[in-house]
Amino acid sequence: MSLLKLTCREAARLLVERRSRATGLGERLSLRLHLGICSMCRRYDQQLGLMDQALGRWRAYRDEDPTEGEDPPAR
Amino acid sequence: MSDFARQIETLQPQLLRYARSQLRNDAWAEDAVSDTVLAALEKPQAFNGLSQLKTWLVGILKHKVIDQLRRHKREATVLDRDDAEDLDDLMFTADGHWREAPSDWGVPEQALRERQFITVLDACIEHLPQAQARVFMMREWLELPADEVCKELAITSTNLWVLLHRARLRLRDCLQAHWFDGRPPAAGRPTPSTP
Repeated sequence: MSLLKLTCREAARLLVERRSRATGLGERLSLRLHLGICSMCRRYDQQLGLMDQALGRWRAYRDEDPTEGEDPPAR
Repeated sequence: MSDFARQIETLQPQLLRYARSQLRNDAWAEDAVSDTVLAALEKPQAFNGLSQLKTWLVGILKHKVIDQLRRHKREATVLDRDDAEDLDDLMFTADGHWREAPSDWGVPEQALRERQFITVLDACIEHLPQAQARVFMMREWLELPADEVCKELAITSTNLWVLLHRARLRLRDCLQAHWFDGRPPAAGRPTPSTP
């Protein structure tokens, strides 16, 4: 991949990777440049952030809530 | 049967469901759950009552699930057809552009609090192809560091990133279809709080 000219596909991958590993300087720089001009990838990054939040809640439901998996009580 | 044993028995179906969703193999999941129940019954004094019984059991289960993954390392990384299919091609054009612009999900704080949203997310995770699901769950549920996932499954870090990338694209697609598109518009947006 050319660091100075990322495609959206490469940027999308890097957005996932940087949640799990320390990215290199070149990767960070090229991602920043890409996000600066690409609203679609900025939006994907927001979606990823939201999924991260949701996964935190999902984990809590799984690991803590004894009623998880039952039907929610009728409101 | 003691009260303790009975409480454990009540939680068993949930434990089995969790083990299955991580391991994607019924026999391994059953082994992980029986190991968990045996460990719990052997050392009931280890449950100090400070956490919920379920939290304690899930903690043990996670270790037993990792044991199973280790034991079946070789079979656990076999890609099924859906894993191998290049999802990137569906989402991106040949020159790497988004085929369809990601939509604005807003800040659905309300949705995040709703159990139904979590249920949809859970179902979407269930629908991930095998290898993607295993890797994704090892990161998000077992909370293992990336290098450990690679080690346990004997895969390269490049494999790992590709699988995680595809899992995220699928998850996003699934949430889009089953929550953000399929709901009345208010559900995806912050709802004004009622006094």
